[in-house]
Amino acid sequence: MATELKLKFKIKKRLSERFTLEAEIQLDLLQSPITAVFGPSGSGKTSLLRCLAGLESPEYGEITFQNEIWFDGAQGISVPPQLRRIGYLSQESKLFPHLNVKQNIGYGLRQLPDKEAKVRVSSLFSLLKLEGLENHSPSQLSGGETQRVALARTLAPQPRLLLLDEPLSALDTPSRESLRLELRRLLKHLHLPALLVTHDRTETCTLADEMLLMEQGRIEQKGRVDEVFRYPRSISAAKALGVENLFRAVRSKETKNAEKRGGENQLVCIRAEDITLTRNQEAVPTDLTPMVGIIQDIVQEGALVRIRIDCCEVLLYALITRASFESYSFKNLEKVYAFVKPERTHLIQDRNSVEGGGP
Amino acid sequence: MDWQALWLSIQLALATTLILLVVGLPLAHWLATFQTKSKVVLHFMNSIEVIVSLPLVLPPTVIGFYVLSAIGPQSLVGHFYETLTGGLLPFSFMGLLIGSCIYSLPFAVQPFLASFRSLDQRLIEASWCLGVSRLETFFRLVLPLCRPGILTGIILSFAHTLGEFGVVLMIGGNIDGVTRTVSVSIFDDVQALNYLAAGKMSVILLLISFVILSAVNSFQRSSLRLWQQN
Repeated sequence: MATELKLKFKIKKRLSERFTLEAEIQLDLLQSPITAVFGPSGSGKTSLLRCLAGLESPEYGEITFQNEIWFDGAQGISVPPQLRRIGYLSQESKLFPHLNVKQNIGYGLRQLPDKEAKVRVSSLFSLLKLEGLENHSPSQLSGGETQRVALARTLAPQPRLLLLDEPLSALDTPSRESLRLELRRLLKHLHLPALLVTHDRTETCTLADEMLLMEQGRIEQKGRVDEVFRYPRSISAAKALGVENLFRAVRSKETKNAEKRGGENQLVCIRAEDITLTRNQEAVPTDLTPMVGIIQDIVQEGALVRIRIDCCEVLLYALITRASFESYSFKNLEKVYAFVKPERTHLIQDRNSVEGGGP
Repeated sequence: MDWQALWLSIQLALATTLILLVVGLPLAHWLATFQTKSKVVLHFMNSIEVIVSLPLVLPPTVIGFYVLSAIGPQSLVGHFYETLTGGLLPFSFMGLLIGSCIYSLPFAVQPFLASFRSLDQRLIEASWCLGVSRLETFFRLVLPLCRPGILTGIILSFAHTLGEFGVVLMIGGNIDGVTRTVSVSIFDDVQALNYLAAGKMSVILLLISFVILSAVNSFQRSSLRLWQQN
């Protein structure tokens, strides 16, 4: 067994007049097999993945996987996708419409002896719970089944690296949730390194070990998923990660921490789910100073409830569970106390202009 | 009834269709898939596409005239052919074949091109990423999925060659058993006031055309079905 499995790339590709993809990173796929490439739409995630798959070529740079050079702009090397031995699954996978499910899955197994190919196809049928669909044509399948067949087809030639481009985003919510769990089980079971492009926080948290945060064609931050979500490194990272509350840090008399860490050019990040709301000031722990505000808006988001509070011209967003919302039964225009544990706040240096407020 | 002329036309149509299939498929595939950022190459490709489509709008006599000039014994092609075979291209079956191929080229290339262009690129990329080479992808994926368009191209070039008149007359003249095709034979019959023979031959051509167009229609319907599934 190999002691290391590294994917290194340093690429530059102009995508439009104003937008250049410029990414450089080294990933240790043995330590963190599943890496999410997270970012808003149009941040260059898909282009990055297509460059890794060999479906697009960067203008400059290098891509190496283990000791193989996949791309080297200076030497004019560009290994075609066929020889990279990767599995690429796109957002809205297309099955080959003239072949049935079984033939679709076996499509990439032409080089194998018939018997071996049959065994592999049938093992994928049971692995992805596709039994009974063997002779169905792609037009007879639901969205979730199509994506499962596409995944089986991708896994059939035993790729060394999976490149998944928003594999669940085209599905309806129930199919997405069940396939997300199945994908998690599968990736752990197969020990297959994967790069997963997504703009979905739940998908990133459920599936990935590590994440690359992409913003405007650049890798803004890299790290373990929980760390990146908790400690964004810059304002743009915080915004890309969907941090709801971002305020200018103010030096207080009691604590000079802000000054020590860089004075007033700092912003405080607080995630909406880290804010606790209460009606009674007595319920606030004695060592914490609460913010007092008036509820402006209450939005039900399935299992969670998003509450907007006006705290003396500063808008605060809180996310509480439905159960706790029902037990408190908060109402619009009601006065509430909001507090957050100090360890749940995070300070970031404001390198550019003064920014603040919620999303 | 000039059965010999009908047989000659069928031979000419079959040979033309075969050649257009071999030449037209790679040409159309290249036009549909070649990607470049160079404006010069792009202009060159556009010109090729226009040249391929020219026979659709040019009068057959003009095409016939140019082809005749290009394959005459004084021309490079005609001279080369003469040294190779000792024969002349004008007023020969081979000359007719060259003219027919040029005349019917858009009838093959345009449907091929349309079907290649309508194919979802993501399917082709999926095939490449499964380790299947470009050539194998063409045979296992592109050809089966573009079959209706390809069959339409084949049928249209066959039908078009079968009924051609102007180009044939310009290049081949009217030599019995060598260059007299069915349409020239009908023209001859009418000139000789032999309306019965002209009528019989016309009915046969009418029937063949009807069957061919019905086939094209049914292929296009199945193409639509496949496209909807896709």
